[in-house]
Amino acid sequence: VHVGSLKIAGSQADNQSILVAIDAGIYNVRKATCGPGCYQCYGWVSASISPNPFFVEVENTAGLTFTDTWGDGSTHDLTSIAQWGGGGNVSAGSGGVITGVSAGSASVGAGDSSEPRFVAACGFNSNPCPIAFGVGANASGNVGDPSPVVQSVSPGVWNAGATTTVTVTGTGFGTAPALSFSDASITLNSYISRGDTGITAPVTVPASAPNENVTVTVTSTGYNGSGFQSGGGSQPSHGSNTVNVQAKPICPSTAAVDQITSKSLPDHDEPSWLTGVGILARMKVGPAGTDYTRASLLETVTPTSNSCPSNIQTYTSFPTITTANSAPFVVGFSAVWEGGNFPSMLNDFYDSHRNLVNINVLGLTNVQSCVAKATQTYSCNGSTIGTFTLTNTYTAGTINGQAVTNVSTTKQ
Amino acid sequence: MCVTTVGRLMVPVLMSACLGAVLCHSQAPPTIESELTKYKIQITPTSLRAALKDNRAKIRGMAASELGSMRNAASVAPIMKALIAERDPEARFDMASALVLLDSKVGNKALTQVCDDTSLPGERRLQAASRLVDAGDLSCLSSVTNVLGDTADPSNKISALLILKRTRAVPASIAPEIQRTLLASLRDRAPSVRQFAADCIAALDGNAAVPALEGAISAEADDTTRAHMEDLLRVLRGGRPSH
Repeated sequence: VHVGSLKIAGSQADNQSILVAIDAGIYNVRKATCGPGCYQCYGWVSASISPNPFFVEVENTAGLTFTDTWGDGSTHDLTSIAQWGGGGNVSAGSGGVITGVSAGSASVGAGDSSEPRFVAACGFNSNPCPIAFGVGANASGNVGDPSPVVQSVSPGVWNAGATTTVTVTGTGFGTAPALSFSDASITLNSYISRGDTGITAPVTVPASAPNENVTVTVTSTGYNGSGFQSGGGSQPSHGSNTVNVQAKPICPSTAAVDQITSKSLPDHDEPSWLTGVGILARMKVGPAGTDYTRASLLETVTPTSNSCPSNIQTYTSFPTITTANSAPFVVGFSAVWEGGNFPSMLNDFYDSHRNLVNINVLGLTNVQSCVAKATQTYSCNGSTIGTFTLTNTYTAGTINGQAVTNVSTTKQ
Repeated sequence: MCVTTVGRLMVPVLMSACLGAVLCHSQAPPTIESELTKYKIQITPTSLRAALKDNRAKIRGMAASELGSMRNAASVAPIMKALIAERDPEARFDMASALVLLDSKVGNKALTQVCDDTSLPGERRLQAASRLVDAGDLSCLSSVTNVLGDTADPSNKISALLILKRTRAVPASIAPEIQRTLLASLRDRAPSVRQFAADCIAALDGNAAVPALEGAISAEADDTTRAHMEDLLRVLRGGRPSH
C-alpha cells in the first residue's frame, strides 16, 4: 500500500477554498484504496500570557500580553480582543491590564473564542476548515507592596559636624518608611514627616566624618501596619540614593593679605555717589600645606582713630563689628565685587572694604584730606588668626568737574 | 534718616544733622554662585555653558568665571568660542580669566593684552597681571612694575607689590628694573606702601634683602612700619618675629 500526501497553499489565508484540477492519470485499481480525503485546518497550536510569572503592586496596575502561535510558525497578538479574568489577589480588565487587589499569589487567564484551532484529520467533507475555534492561556504571579524608589535627596551635600534637615522624595515608601545610611555613624534624630512619597528628618553627621559618598536607603514597612508584603515575589523592600558628606573644615591659624583690588570713584553699584570706595582684599590662610576649604571665619572691626572733622565723622568712621554681628567669611568661596568676578582660590577668602556716601563729605569741611583707622581681627572657632590695621584715607578730588571725596583703603 | 549698612545688616541711623546716606562694608561679598542662583542659573557645567550665550553680559561673565572656578576642562572650547564673539570688556575679562584657570593659552594671551594696555586703569591692568601670576605666568611683571612706578594710588601700589611678592622667582631680564622700583617703594610717602615693599623685597631677595631693609629701617619714621621691617630682618637672620 502506498500512501502519499500533497499540500496546496493559497495566497490569501491559511483557510481558503481552492479549486484544484487534476489531470487524467492512470491508477492501478488493484492497488488503490478508496477512502475519505485528509486535510489540515490551520490555526493556533500554542498560546501564552507574558510575563509569566507576573508581578503587580497592591493597588497598582501592570500590563500583560496574550499571544498564540499557529502551525506555520506565525504569532498573533490577541491581547486587545481576548477575554481576561483574574483570580485570587488580582483583577484583570480588558487589554490585559491587571490590578493588584491584595498581597499574595495570583493567577490570570485570557481567551479568545473566535480563534481557529489547528486540526489535521481525514473525512468525506470536501471543504471542512475551519472546524474548531477557541484559544486560551493562564499565567501565575504575585501581588505585593512596591519597592521604594528614591528619586532625590535634598540637600545633596551634608556637612560633617552639623545637623541637616533632609528631604527624601520618591515612590513606594509605604506608610511608615525607615531611613538608614551606609555610614553608621550618621544618626537620624527623629522624623518630621514620612509617607509613601517622602521623608523629612534631621540628620546629624559626626564631626569626625571624612569626605565620602553615603548611600541613603529607604526601607518600606508596607502599608497600614501590615509589614512589607512581597506577595511571594522577590521585589526588595528598600531603595536608595547617594549623597556627599563633606568633612568638617579645618580651622587655619594664620591669615595674611594675599592680594588687593582697589576701586576708585565712580562706584559700580552707586555711580552717582560722591564719596567712596575701597578695596577687595583676598586673604590667604595658613599654615600652608593644609586644605582649609569651607572654614568659617568671623571678624571684629574696632575703630581706633579718625582725623576727619567732627561733622563728617559719621560718614568716615569705620563701623564697629563684633563676632556677634559678623557675617561669616568662608575659605574657598568666590566673590562678586564692584562688577567683577573673583574665582575661588585654595585657602583664600575675600573681604570687601568699601565706604560709600552719596554726598561729597570733604565738601562739608575745610580740609582736603583726613584719615580713619580701625583694627580688624579674624577668628576661627574663637581663636584669633590675624589682626590687621584698616586705613581709609579720604582725599578731595574731582570727576568731570564734580567735586568728590576719594577713599583709598589699605590693610596691613 | 540715613541708612548705614554694617555687615549684612541694614541699620537705620537717625542723625540730627544727617545729610547723606552711608554704606559701610566690611564683609564677605556675595559669591558668584549665589549671584547666578538669583538669575535662576543652575550651577552645573551644562547650565553654565548654556549661560555663556545669555543676552546679559553680566551672566555670560559670571558663567565663565564659575566654569573656571570649577576647573571644568570640557568648557574650554565653549568659553573660547564665547570669548571670540564677546564685545563686553568685563565679560571678555572673565572669559579670559576662566581660560587661564583652565590652562588655555588663549586666556593668557588675552589677559596679557589687558595688562600691557597703558590706556586702561591701573587697577584693571593689575587684576589681569594678578590672575596670570596666580597661574604661574610672569609675562606681565614688567607692566606691574610700570604701574607700581607710575601710580600715585597707595592701594594700587600695594596691589602691585603683592603681585610681585607672589612671583617668588623674578626673570633675570627684568630683575634690575623690579629691584629699582622696589627700592623706590621703600621710600614711598605712604607707610603702608613702605611696609608692603619691605615684605616684597624680603620675599624675593631673601638674605640679599638685608642691606636694603637695614637702610629702610634707619630711615623709617613710622613706628609701626619700622617694627614690621625689624621683624622681617629678624626672620631673615634666622630669628623669630617679635609677635
